[in-house]
Amino acid sequence: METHQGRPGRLTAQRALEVYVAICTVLVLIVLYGAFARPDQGVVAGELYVRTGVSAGAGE
Amino acid sequence: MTVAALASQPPTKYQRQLWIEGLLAVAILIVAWIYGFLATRSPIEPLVSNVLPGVQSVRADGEIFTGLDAQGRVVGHAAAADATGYGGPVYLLVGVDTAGDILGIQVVEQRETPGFYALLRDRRFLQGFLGRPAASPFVLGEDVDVISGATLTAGAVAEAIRLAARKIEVGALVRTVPPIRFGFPEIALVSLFAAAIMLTRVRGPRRSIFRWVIMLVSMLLLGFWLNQPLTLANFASLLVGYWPTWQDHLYWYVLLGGVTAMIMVTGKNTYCYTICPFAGVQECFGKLGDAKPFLPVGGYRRLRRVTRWLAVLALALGLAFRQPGAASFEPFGTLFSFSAGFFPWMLLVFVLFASLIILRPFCHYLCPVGAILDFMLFLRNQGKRLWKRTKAAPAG
Repeated sequence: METHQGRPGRLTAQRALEVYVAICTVLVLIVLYGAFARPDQGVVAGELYVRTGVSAGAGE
Repeated sequence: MTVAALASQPPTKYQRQLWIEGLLAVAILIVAWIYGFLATRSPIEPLVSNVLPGVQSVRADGEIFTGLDAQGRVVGHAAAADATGYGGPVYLLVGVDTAGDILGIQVVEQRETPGFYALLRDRRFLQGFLGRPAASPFVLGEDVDVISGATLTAGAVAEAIRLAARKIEVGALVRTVPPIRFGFPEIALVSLFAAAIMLTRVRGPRRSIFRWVIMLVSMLLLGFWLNQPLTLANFASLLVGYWPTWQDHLYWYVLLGGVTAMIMVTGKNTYCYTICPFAGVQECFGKLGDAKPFLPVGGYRRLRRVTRWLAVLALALGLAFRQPGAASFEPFGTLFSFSAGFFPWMLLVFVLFASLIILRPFCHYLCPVGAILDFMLFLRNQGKRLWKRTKAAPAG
C-alpha cells in the first residue's frame, strides 16, 4: 500500500520508467528497421562466387 | 474457495482485454503469414549462366539445369538447394563442371541472422568450396572448417551445397539424411531443464543458491559459449515453416519443445525465471547496483502491453518478409557474440545500465520471448480454467 509521503516519489519513478521504456522502444524500432531494410537480406541473386575469381553484387 | 468455484468465476476485465489482444495479434500474424507465403521465390534458370561461365543456353530437366556453350557442348550442370541455419534458410545455386568440380556458387536468397552470415562472409567461407569435387562429403568439422560463432549458419551453407551437388550427381532430388547429432550442447540444455524442474521442488534458503547456480551455468553455456538462447527468431522460424532437419538440429527442437512442455506441465514460466542467460546477466548487474524490482500498479500492465505489441510487430514483419532471423531484436546476440551495429549496442547499454537500478528491466518491459511465453501460459491457464468449469458444471 502506498503511503501519502511515498506517492509523489513513486509517481516520478513511474514517469521515469515510462520515459525509459519509450526510449528503448524507439531503439527497438530502429533495430527492426535496420534488420528488415538491410540490402543483403533476402536479396535475389546476391553474392556470386566463381572459380576464376570472386565477384560480389547482383548477377544479371 | 474450491478450484471448481474459482473456475466458475467470470473472467476479469483484464483477462477479457488479453483475449481481445490475443485474437487481434493472431489475426495480424495470419495476414502477415499469408502475405509472406504469396511472395514467390525467384526463378533459378536465368542465374545458371552466373555459376557456369561461358554458357549460352540452358536446358532444364526437373531441378537440374544443364549449361551449353555456343556450339551446344555441355559446360556443366547446376542445381539449387536450401538449408536452414539459426534464423532462416540460405538458398544457393551451385554450378559443377563436366569434371565434377564446383565451378560457381550463387547466393539466391539468404534469410539468416545478419550477424552470423556476416561472419561467414568475413572468413571467405563460400570461396573455400570452389574447385572441390562435388562428391565431397561437405560435413562441418570434417572436410569443412567450423566457423566459430556461426556454426549453424556454416552448417546450413555446407548442407545446401551438399544437397545441390548430390542433385547434380544423381540427377534427381536426393535429400541425404544427416547423422543424428546429440552432443554436449544438447546434453547441457536437457540438464538445465532438468535442474529448473528440480528447482520448483526445492524450498528454503537453498532454493536461491540453487537458482543462482543454474542461472550462472546457463549464462556461461547457453549465452557466452553457445550463443543460442531462446529468441524471437526461434518462434518466427517455427511459424514461417523454416524447420531445420531434426537429426543435426536437435538443440533447436529441445529448446522450443522443452520450454513449451515446462509451461504446459508446470504452469510456470521457468525458462525466463531460471534458464534465460540474458536474465542471468541482468541479475548479475542487479547485484552490483543493488537493484530492486519496480512493477508499479497499473503502469506495469500498460507498459507490458507495449512489450506484447513490439513482439507482435517483430513477428509479423518476420512472417511477412520471410526473414525470421531479422525479427529478433533482443540484445542477446549483441552481448554474447560481441557483434552488432550501433543501435543494438545502444539498446544493450541502456538495458544493462537500467539493470543496475531495476531488477530485470528487459524481462519486464521489453522482452518479446517473455511476452510470448506469458501468452502461452495465459492460454494454458485459461484452457485449464475452462476445462475445470466444464467438469464442474454437471455437479452444479
